This record gives sequence, structure tokens and C-alpha cells, in this order.
Amino acid sequence: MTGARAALDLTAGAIFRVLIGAAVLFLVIPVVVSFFLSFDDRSFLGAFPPTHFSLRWYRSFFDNPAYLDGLVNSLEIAAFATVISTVAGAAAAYALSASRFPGRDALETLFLSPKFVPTVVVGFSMLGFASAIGVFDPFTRLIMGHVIITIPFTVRATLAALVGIRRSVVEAAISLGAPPWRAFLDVTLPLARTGVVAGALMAFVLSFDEVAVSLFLADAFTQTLPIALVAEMRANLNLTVAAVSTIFAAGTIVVVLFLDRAVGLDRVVGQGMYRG
Amino acid sequence: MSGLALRDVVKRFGAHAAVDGLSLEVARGEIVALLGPSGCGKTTTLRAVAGFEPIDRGAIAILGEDVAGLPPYRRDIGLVFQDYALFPHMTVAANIEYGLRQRGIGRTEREPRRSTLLRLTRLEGLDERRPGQLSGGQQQRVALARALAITPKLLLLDEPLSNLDAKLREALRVELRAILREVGTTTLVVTHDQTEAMGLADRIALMNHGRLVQVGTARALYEQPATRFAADFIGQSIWFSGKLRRGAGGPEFVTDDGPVLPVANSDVQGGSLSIRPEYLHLPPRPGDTGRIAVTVAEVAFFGAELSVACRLKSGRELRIPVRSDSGAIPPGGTQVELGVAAERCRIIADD
Repeated sequence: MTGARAALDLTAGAIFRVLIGAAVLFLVIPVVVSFFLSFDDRSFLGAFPPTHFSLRWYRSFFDNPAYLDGLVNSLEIAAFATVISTVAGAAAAYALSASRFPGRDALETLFLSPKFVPTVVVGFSMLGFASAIGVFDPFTRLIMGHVIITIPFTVRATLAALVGIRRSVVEAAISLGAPPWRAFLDVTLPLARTGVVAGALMAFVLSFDEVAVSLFLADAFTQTLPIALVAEMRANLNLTVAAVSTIFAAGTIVVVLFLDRAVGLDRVVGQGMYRG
Repeated sequence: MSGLALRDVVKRFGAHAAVDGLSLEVARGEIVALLGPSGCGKTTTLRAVAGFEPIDRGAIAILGEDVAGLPPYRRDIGLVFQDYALFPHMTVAANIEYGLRQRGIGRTEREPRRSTLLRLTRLEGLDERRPGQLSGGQQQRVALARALAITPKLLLLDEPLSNLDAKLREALRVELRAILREVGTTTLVVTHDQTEAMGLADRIALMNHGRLVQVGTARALYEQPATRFAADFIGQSIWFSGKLRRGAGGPEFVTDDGPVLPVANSDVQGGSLSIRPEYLHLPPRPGDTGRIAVTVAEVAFFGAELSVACRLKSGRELRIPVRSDSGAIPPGGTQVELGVAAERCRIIADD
């Protein structure tokens, strides 16, 4: 009986480890492959691994104005969308967590709903909506679309952080003489900070990465980097895409390391410091 | 002028009255414990005094001033929460100085105040620690220091020792009592633990179902409980049902179990007789006019005390504590008599 159970535990443990390993490999191998391919000297997609190495695809990236314009646009749009989405999302989350009113749960679901609507639908709807209200500037349109798709993440991340803040901590500040707005600034906001930062980070990455919504909202002169990449791949497939992927991956690693140093990664993705 | 006066306070949640016409006076500098089982309305009362629960009726006055129109941040009340509610992102020093900062008190005044409080609560040298780096007992003392820093008109403690383990609780209770004595602030302690109430407070206000049951010193509540609830909630009681009658030497109570016992109070009709277990003496002492014939059933040893199970003729078993240094206890099966003094036998009205 006990022996059988121990054997079962052992087997389950082994399967679990294999699954984790497979998942990690699945995620890492494509990145590694594209890393090596980005240094491939051949002008065609040859057999892996490459035999000669060069930086030609990186040069091609930096020489192509479509890419560079796309990069600048993407960064600007992501920055605007992140700021708007974070402020609005955090405010919405605070309102949702601080009060009980009829329809509160429905409102929360509404804020989170863009997550469940296909991005193609969001993109098309936003295009129609923007022209209906007279917004034809693609840059503004793109920011609007990106705010919509990122807001579920900023709301959710802030809400998760706020839920972890005990009511007594805020009341303690009030009992010590702080009016409610002061208690919010001194206690609630600093304790929810990790959630807000995590939400902002997710919003930025999501916006930077977005293709479907952007396809509808961009035009021929205002393109984001992912759209420029898609267009370029269609026109002439080459390994510039691999170079861009490698730059992206490197950028992400830098951000993650920075975040870990600044606030502690476990605090951003884990429980958060508000647990005291 | 009393430190805190509650007059006929009512707080309803829907149809349920959590606090149902509570009136209580706490003298300046006095420590009063609001004691009662969970759900009796004691925490609601504390939150009403602090200003976090608006009351439906009645009045609350602190140092003679009605606080009805004052929001919680204007009441100058030091509040120690059950979970301490320290600010986890601030140092101990910043926690303690928070209330002073809100009052616009400058650094030159804050720092000496902080060191006085740290000395008082024996937290010297921990200024720069974060709450997460402190033990439970230290966190409790920081919470107290933070509440006292604002020199509150009134101090409210919500189950101050319930989050600590038993050994620490004992030590901190003594220390907390000493600190409260030293600062002399009017204090209301809310607790469900009678030991905490007895150890900390000058007087105990016993609550049940949103009302006051009895107010008095710990000894008064223990020796003269007013109701069956009071007698059962504070300490233990052995209950005898039966009838009161006029005997030769004064009023007597004829128990349904057989023994006839003298009683201290005969003004209660239709009640039961309550005796604290330790007032039953084996063997009887001089002055014990009441006698109960029993058979020793079993003796259990608990170090300082023995627990002796005695069987009445009716078959009912009583467990009484006997100090283990009080001589030999007759072996099981022996017929003996328990003695009890008349003033220890109290008739208490059935609830």
C-alpha cells in the first residue's frame, strides 16, 4: 500500500519534472535558434546551424528606414498607451476595490472583457468607432486601440495588489490623523505600487508586441515595428526578422534584470510586498 | 468629566442590532476592558468610538466632548489593531512618527518623542527596521508606541494579545499593563479573553448580545456574578438546581441532587445555585457551614493542583481542584464531606 503510493508519488514527480523541462525547452529553443540564425552569413534560409557568421542582418535592420520608423512609432505608442492604461486602470481598480455598489461585478467584468474579445474584432471596432467620432490620425487611433487591449492587464494587476492591502492598515493611518486622501497617498498607493508597475510593464510589452489591432488602425505612413516586420516578411523573407527577435529578447532580459534590481522580480510577479 | 462616556449607543446592521443601547463611563486614566464572546458587539463598539462606524442612536463623548461630528482622523484616538496594522513599507521610526507628521510636528520635536516611546516600549535600536523584520511581540509594541506617539485623549486596544503565543502573551500582558499605568491614558481594551481583561483592566464591562451584562472589578464579577451568563463566562461554576427555603440558621437551598446548602443571597427567586469549584474544600475548613457528602471517584495530578472527581448520592460527578501540597487525599471509594462557606453559595437568576 505505502510502497505503491510512494512509487506513484515518484512517478508523478518524474512526469512533472519532464513536463516542466519540455515547457522550458519549448519556450527557449526558438529563441536560441533565432539567435544563431540572426548571425548567419548566408543570404538564404539554409540548414541549421549556420556555417558562417556576420552582422549583415543587424546592418540591414538599422539601414531600413521602415524598421526604424516602426521602432520609433512602436516605442512612442507603447509609452502613451502604457501611461494612459496604467493611470486609468489603477483608478478603476481602486474604485472597484474601495466600494460596493450595484453592478460593481458587472463593471469589473466589463473592464476585463477586452481580454476575451478577439483582437481582430477590437481592431475593426476601434477603426469604425474612431471614424465615427472623427479621429482619422492613425497615431491617435493606435493609442486608443492599445489602451483598450492593455487596460484589462493594468486593472487586474492593480486590483490583485489592492486586495492584498488590509483595511486595518489604511484605517490605522486615518486614526493617526490622516484624512482618507492622505492615507491613500501614504499607504494604499505605495503598497499597491508593485501591482501598478507590473501592470504597466505588461501593458508596455503587450502594446509593443501588438499586431492584429494595429493592422486595422495603422496606415501606410504610420506603421509599428511588428507591422513593418510582417510587411517585410511578405515582400522578401530574410533573416532581418531573426536579428530583430534577438534585439527584442536582449531588451526583455535587460528590462527583467533591471526590474529585479529595482523592486525585486518576486514582488512583481509573486505575492508583493504588501504582505508585510 | 469622564475620559469616555457612551450613552445609550445603538448600532444596527440591517435588522440586527450589533450594539443595543450601551451605556458606559470610563474615568480619566482608567483602563476598562470590554469583555464578551465573539459577535457580542464589543468590536463594533470600539469601531464606533474610533469613528469608523457611524452610530444609529445615542452619544459618545471623549473628555466631555461629543465626537458625533468628528471624523476618525480628528478624534485624537490611539488605536491598536488586532493585526497591529503597521505600515509594512515604512521603518519603525516612520511608523511611530506618522501621527506626528500628520499634525505638522517638526523633526526636532518628533525625534525626542520617538526615542521616549522606544524606551518606554523597550524597542531601542530598532528604529530603522521594517515591521517584517520584527517578532510578533515587537510588532505589537511598535503598534502601541505608534498609537501613543500622538498623546491620544483615548487609547483603544483591539484584542491586543490574541495574535501572540501563550508564553509571550503572559509576559506582554504584564508589560503592557505597566506601560499603560505609566502613560496614564484613558484606555478601552476589547477582548474575548478573561485573563487578558483581568490582567490589564481596572474594571471589566461584560457584554453579551450587544448589551452590557455587568460592570465591575474582576473580583466583583468573579465573586458576585449578576447573571448565569456572567457566572459561566468568567471562571467556572458548579450549578445546582433546586428550591430556596427559610431554614433555622438563615436561608437554605435544597438542591435537586440532595444536599441542603446555606446561601449568601436570598433575594433572588427562581434561580440556581452557583459555587466556584475551588470554594468546595476537601477536607472542610473552619467556617464552612455547608456540607456535601460525596464518594471520591478519581484523583488526577496536574502538578500544582489535583483534580478530584467526587460523586454525589444522586450519581452526579463534581470535579474540584485541590492544591497538591494540602495533604493526603483519600483513595477512590472513600466517603468524605466537602465543605463550603455560606457566602460562597450564590443564587443566580436563570437567564
